[in-house]
Amino acid sequence: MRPQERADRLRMFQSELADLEREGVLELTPEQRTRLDTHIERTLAELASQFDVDTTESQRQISLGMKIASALGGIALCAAVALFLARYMGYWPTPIQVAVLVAIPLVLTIAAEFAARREKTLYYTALIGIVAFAAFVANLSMLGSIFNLAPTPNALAVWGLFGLALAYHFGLRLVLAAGLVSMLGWITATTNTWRGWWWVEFERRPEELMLAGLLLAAIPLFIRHAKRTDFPAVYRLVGMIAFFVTMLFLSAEGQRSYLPLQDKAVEHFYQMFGVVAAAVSVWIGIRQSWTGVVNIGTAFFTIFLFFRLIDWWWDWMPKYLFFLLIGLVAIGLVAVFKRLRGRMRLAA
Amino acid sequence: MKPLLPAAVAILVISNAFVLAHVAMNRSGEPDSEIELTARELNYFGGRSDDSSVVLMLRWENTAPEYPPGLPMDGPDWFDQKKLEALGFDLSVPASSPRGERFYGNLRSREAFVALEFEGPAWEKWLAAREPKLESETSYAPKVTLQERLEIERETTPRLVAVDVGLDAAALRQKYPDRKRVMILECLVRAMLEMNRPASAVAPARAAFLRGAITRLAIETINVPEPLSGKLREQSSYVPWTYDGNQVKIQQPTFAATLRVGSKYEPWVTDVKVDVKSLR
Repeated sequence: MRPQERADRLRMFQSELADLEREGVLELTPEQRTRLDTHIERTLAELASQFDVDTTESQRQISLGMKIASALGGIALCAAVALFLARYMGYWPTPIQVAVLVAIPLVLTIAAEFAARREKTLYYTALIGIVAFAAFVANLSMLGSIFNLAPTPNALAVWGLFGLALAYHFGLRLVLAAGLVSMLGWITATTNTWRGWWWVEFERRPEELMLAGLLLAAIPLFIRHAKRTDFPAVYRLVGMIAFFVTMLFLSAEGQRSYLPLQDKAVEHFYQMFGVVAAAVSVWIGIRQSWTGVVNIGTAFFTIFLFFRLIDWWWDWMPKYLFFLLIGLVAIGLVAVFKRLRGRMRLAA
Repeated sequence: MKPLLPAAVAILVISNAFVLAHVAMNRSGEPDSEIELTARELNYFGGRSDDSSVVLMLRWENTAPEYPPGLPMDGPDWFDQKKLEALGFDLSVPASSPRGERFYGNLRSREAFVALEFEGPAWEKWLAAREPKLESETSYAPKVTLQERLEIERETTPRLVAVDVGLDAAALRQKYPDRKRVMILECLVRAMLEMNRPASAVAPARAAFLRGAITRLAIETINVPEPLSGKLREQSSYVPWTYDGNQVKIQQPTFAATLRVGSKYEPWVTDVKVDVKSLR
C-alpha cells in the first residue's frame, strides 16, 4: 500500500470511530482511546516526515492544486523550450545546434534525478521529467529537420522507451502516458512498414491501432506492478482511449475497415459493437474496482449513444424535441445506473 | 542510482549518435547527384520573426500527379499498372470490379524512389504538353498573350521533372547515370483507380484502368545551414513574373543553390549564390 493510501485510511478510520462513539455503537476505555490516538498521530507524523503525505483534507486539496500547477507548468515550459529553439537556433552553426539539442534533454534528465533526491512528493521532478521528454522529442525532430532526414517511425520507439525509462525510474504517470502513446504509434506504424506501406497513413486502416490499444490495456494483467501500483491505470487509460476513439472513427468511416462487409454494414457493426464494448468495460471496471475503466466506459457509452441518436433523429425531428429526448435518455441512464448501484449494494 | 536512469541516458545518447552516424554516412564518399538549382526549383518564402531557420521548398513537375488537372485521362501515362506491380502493389482486384473503388481507395501509399531530370528532354516534353493548355489557363490574366504565357512557362517554371519511379535506387541510377542532370530522391506513390467513362458527345467511352501517382517527396523542405543561410535571410520571396495590365515582366531568379544528394538519398545544400545576373 502506498503511504498516501495508508494515511487516508487512518484518517477515515479516525473519523468513523468518532461517529461510532457518538452513536453509542462502540465505546473505548479512556486508556484504549489514548493509546489508539497516540498510535494514529505518531504513524501519521512518521508518514508525513518520511513520505511528505497529506494528513488533513486541506493539505490534500493543496496537493491537488500543486499537481495541476505542475502539469500545466510542465506543458508551458515545453512550449517555451520549443519556441526558444525555433526563434534562435537558425542563427547558430550546425555543431552548436546539435550540441544544444543533445544537451537540453540530457541536462533535464540529470536535473530530474537531482530534484527527486531532494523532494518526496516529486512535484518538481514530474515537471522536469515531462519537459525532458518533450525536449528529447524536439531533439530528434529538429535533428531530422537540420539534416533533411526522411521521417522514420523508429523515432517513436526511441521516445517511447525513453519515456518508459523516466516514468519507471521516477514514478511519473504523465511521462508514462506520453511514452505509451509513442509506443502505440510505433506499433501501429511498424505494422504498416512491414507490409511496405508508408508508416504515417495508419488512419486508412485504423483497426491495428484498435488492437494495439486493447493490447496495451491488457499489459498490466501480465506484468505485475508491485512497486508502481498506480501505473496499471495509466496503461488502461491510454489503451482504452485508443481502442474507443478508433472504434468511433470506424463507426463513421466504414470504408476504412478490413472487415469484408459493405461500408454501411461495417459502420452499423462498429456502432453496435461500440455501445456493447463500452457497457462491457463499465461492467469489468466495476467488478475489478478499476475506476478509470468505469469512467472511460461510461463516457464512450454516452458518446456512442449520443452519435447514434444524432444519426437517427437530428434531420427529421424538431430540435427542441431532439434535446428533450436526449434529456429523457440521460434521465433513463441515471435510473439504470442507480438501479445497478442498488443491486450491487444488495449483493455486497 | 537505479539502472533505469542510465538506461534513459543511454537511449538519449545512442539515438543521437545513430542519427549523426547516419548523416555522416549519407554525406561521405561520392554524392549520388549534385545539381545547381535556382529560385525556380527552390522556393524561399522569407523569414518569420518567430522562426530563425532558413528553409527551401523543392519544386518539381509531377508527371504522375494524384489528381491531374484538366480533362479526365484517356489512359495511363508512363506510370502504368505494370510499374505499380513492380512497386509491390496488390492489384488483385480488377479495375472494372464493383469492389475496385473501395479496395483501391483504401490502398496505402508505398515508399519508392523517383528520378527527377533537370532541364532535359522530359522538361521540353512537359513544356510541349503544356502549350495547348495555356490558351485556356485561368491562372493568367486574359490579356496575357499566348506568346507571353509560353515565355513565362519556359523562363520561370521548375525544370525538375519526374521521369521514373522504382523500389531500387541503385537500379534507377544505372538507368539514369547522369549525376549532374538526374536527381534520385525518396517519394511516396499510390495506386489510383480511374473509373470507367460512358461515351459522351465530346469523348468516346473508356474502360476503367489503374495508374500510379507520385503523392509527395519524402523530404520536401531543405534546411540551409549557417553561414549559407545568412545569404538568403535578407532575400524576399521570388516573384517569377509581374503583369501591370499592359506588359509581362519576367524576373530572373534571385539566388542559386547547389543541392547535393548523398548515398542515403538525402539532400543538403552545399553552396548558395545571390545577385548573380546570369541566373536563369
